[in-house]
Amino acid sequence: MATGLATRISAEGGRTFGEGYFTQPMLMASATGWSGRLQALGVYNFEGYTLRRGELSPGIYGEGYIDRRHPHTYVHELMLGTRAALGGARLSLFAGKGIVPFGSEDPMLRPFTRYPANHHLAQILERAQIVAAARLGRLTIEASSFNGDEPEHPGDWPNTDRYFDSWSGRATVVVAPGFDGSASVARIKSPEDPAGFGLNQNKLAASLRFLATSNRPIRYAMLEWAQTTEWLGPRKDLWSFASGLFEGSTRTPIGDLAFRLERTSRPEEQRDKTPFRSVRPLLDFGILGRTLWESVNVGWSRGFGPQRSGDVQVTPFIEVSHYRARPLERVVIASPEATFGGLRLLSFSAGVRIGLGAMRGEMGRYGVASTSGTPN
Amino acid sequence: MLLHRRICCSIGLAAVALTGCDDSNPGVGPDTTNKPPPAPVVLSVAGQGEILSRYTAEVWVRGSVAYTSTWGTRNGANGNALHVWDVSGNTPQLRDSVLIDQAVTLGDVQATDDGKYLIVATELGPGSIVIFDLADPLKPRQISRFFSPNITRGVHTAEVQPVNGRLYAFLSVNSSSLPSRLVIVDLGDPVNPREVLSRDMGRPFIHDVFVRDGLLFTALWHDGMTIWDIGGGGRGGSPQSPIEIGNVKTVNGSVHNMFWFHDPTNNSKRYVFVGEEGPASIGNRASGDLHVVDVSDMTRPVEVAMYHVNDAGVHNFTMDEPNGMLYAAFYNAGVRVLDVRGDLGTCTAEQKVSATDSRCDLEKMNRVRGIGLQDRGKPVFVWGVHFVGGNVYASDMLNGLWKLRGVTR
Repeated sequence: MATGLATRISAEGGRTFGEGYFTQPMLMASATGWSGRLQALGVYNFEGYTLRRGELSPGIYGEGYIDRRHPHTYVHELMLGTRAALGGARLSLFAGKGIVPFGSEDPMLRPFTRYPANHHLAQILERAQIVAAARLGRLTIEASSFNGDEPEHPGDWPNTDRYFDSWSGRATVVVAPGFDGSASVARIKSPEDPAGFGLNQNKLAASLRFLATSNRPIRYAMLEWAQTTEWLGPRKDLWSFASGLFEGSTRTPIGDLAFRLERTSRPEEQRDKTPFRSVRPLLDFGILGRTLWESVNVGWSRGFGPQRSGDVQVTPFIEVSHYRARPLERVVIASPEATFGGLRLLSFSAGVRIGLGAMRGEMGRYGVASTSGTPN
Repeated sequence: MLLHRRICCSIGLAAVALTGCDDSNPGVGPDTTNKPPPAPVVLSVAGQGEILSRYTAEVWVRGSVAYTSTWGTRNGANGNALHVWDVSGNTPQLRDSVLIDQAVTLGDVQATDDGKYLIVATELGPGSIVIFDLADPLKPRQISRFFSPNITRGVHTAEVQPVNGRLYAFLSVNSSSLPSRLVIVDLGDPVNPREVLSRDMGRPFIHDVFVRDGLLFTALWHDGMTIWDIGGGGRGGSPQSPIEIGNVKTVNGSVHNMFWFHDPTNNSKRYVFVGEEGPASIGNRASGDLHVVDVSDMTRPVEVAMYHVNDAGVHNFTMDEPNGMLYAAFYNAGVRVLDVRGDLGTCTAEQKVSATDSRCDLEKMNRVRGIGLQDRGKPVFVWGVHFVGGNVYASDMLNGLWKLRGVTR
């Protein structure tokens, strides 16, 4: 899969940016053996080659990028696991590098091409981990132990001295066919300082999700809440960042229409060489204020060609977003206004997504935790 | 001892009564007298030099001239300006602004003891120290700039001090995930600075140093404070080859800065004050306590006392040593003045931090003598302080430079 994307972002009374990308280029593979009891999953992501400077995306932050989505690591996922049954329960155990069981689906597999601002509040990606899952009836419980350090660059690997210093858990209940709800908790040690001395994070997330199981017009809807609280040593609850998000998509005769509302707070950080990069680890572990980002996003897409496995799928799309940033503290030393020249932004994006072969329906739910479904 | 008596007597009889300034009892603090200690005073503001175009960072004052550095980005303006102030009157008057090429943010600024040179650290884009000639103190003239592959990622702080008569700059380099690093530069010829040491230390940061009497104190964050012989410790150390003497890990770590107090009234050199920089939302609120370390035995320094301000954190220090007053920048809590003369490590059970923490609490020991800039009716965020000539100058990130009257005994 790969996506060609052109984006134009203009700030009210401020600057205009126009950029083009080759985003989310990746190869996905999976294999099963031993009568289905062994499974391997892999995703190689090429963004380290095509998206070094990051993808312009107001409000987003993480891994040393700010207002740009960072490129993912080359080995985005490489997990190997097995399944078993015990009484009425089905169990699985997976290990490798992958998506931690926490929060919601990877935005890459959701209706919008461009990521929401809450990516680092609602997902934990690219960690070396062991994931155990148990499924009993409609309830699935997942638990993971993983390395807390986030990637420093696309070629980075989890630090071996940080293995298993962080953990997460997620419970998912299938309320009815197509409807599920989940709640997650995680504790991450020093994600932003690979040496392990940085701020720690306590994370919570909850979501309600609908995925169409038949040919009804409403294809997908999700309501999500996520919160990250940072702390260090005896200084608990230094500050929190929270997000509320609703998104959905519907199929119409002219194509698929998508809608997203988001309200997410984030830290402002000392910028490095460009306004879109921040210093890692944070100097003296200080942030430069907090801002709230509110956005309304609408999108259109339409697939052309046979949507079958093995065929080339071509899906042009258009996405329009309006962002408003507001200071959450009296003083915001590194205001995004310095970057954009204004705090109200209009974004227009257009592009085409090209896929070949079978696209995975989900990412980050391994073994018996898999619900399999594509929110597109 | 003659010097001791002169300084002691110059303080006045009232001070003698309060401090127990007596040869036979040099370590007695004011809290052990029967006379109740004075309540903290509100520091009187003489004037303010307002700067709203950039965020103000460190301050250094020599004579009637003050220098302030700038930091970060404010309204699109980078922290690349060195501001020069005439502080001979009550209100600091801005006399010059020197823009430093390629700089994004400046860290420390400090004049040499002889007043001939001024050193400014640049952090990010790229790291360096800039050396100015102060033949005309109001018109600093750049005479050299030191770059090195070892400091390219940024000089967070720089201290300049003589060691056995030769001038050195001590640079703390820590702005990346690479190991933090101390770099020492020989400024014997300030036009041609020469690197003499580069050594990785501090987890995750080396933040600052303090140099006095041939001893080097390094603030190594969670590795605590380490004391090195660099020429005055009698162990054969030098700036080229520091030899470790001792280390202490203060409570909560995050060792950020230090001041080794020499009390001229009794020649006591017993205490080092250590600043802990906890996490902060810069411009809004901070965290971190002031720690008191007893260095009577340099090989085994031990923390004996602390000072805490709720919802605020300590930053840089200055001292009025003849009066035994420590002035601490406390970011959003303005300026705090502590009486640090006498014994800081002996206190009653009620004056200890808690039943399980045997350190003395300087606030419970009634050591707080003054509070500054909390009466301005507007937020302040005080980065640095410098006590000169009875006045304390406070650099306020949000508002510029304040001139306040010091506390007298």
